[in-house]
Amino acid sequence: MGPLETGIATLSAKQRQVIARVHFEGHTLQEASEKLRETLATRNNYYRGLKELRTFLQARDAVQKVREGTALEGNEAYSFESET
Amino acid sequence: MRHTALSPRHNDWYEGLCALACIGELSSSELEELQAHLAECVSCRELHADFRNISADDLACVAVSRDLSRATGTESEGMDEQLLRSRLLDRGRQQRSSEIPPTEATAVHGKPVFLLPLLRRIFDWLRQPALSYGTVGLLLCAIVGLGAYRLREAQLSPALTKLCSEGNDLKSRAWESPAQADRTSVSLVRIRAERDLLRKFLEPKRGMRNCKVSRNPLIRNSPPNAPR
Repeated sequence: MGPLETGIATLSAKQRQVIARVHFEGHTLQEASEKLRETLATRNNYYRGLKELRTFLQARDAVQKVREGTALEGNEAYSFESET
Repeated sequence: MRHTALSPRHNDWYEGLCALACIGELSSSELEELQAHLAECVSCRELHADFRNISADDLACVAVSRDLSRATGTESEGMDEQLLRSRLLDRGRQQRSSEIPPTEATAVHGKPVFLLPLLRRIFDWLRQPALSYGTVGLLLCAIVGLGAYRLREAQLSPALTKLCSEGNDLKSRAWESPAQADRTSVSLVRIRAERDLLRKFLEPKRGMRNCKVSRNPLIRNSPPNAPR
């Protein structure tokens, strides 16, 4: 499972259904709302889902940067020890 | 992808527009509003770019990987190309019909046709689930009401016909009664005239009889109706 699929799994059921209908099945928002029998909340669910995915990706990027930073510090410490 | 934090002064409205713009779900007025806002707001520009990247790249990659995994699986689980093609054609037809302005909605022989777009609009309106159920319910109520009205009318029509015939009979009798009264009065006058004539005729006979009675004592003592 890729990182974005992990992010999709963290969404609420409505948000996940709307995003899946639009991006994986090729429906429009209106068609998705007809399928899901929700006339009003579909736009909002789509927007909230996309926003949560963005937040998820931002958090993942931050964690990766922290990991890279710690790895770099470890490499520098090793080279310092080997030089001495 | 470069992710940025939004300032709290931005409300959900423009964020929602940014998300919907990525899949082409904005109306022309909303798109103009968003473009005007993006021209002056940096954070919303970045948000819009992030949403665009997520929807166009990341989610598209996930969709492709899902399709590939389906294609390697069973054939029945793969996407139905016929279904996709028909859906694409339907959407194209809908967009084309919605793009035709009402002034260009002319039809054969140069006569303007307003009925077809109207019917199409009604059909689109009926396709909405809640409205269509309500409309179907209303139609059913109307049909049931009409049926009950017809049934009641059929039940009442013999009695109504009878009442009408009785009314006509009474009316004709009412018309006839003055004529009958006239005939009766005419016959009464004639009978009175005959009675007067008979009285005049009997008057001398009665005088002669009284004279005979006064002269003959035998007739005077006998009862008047005795046989002679």
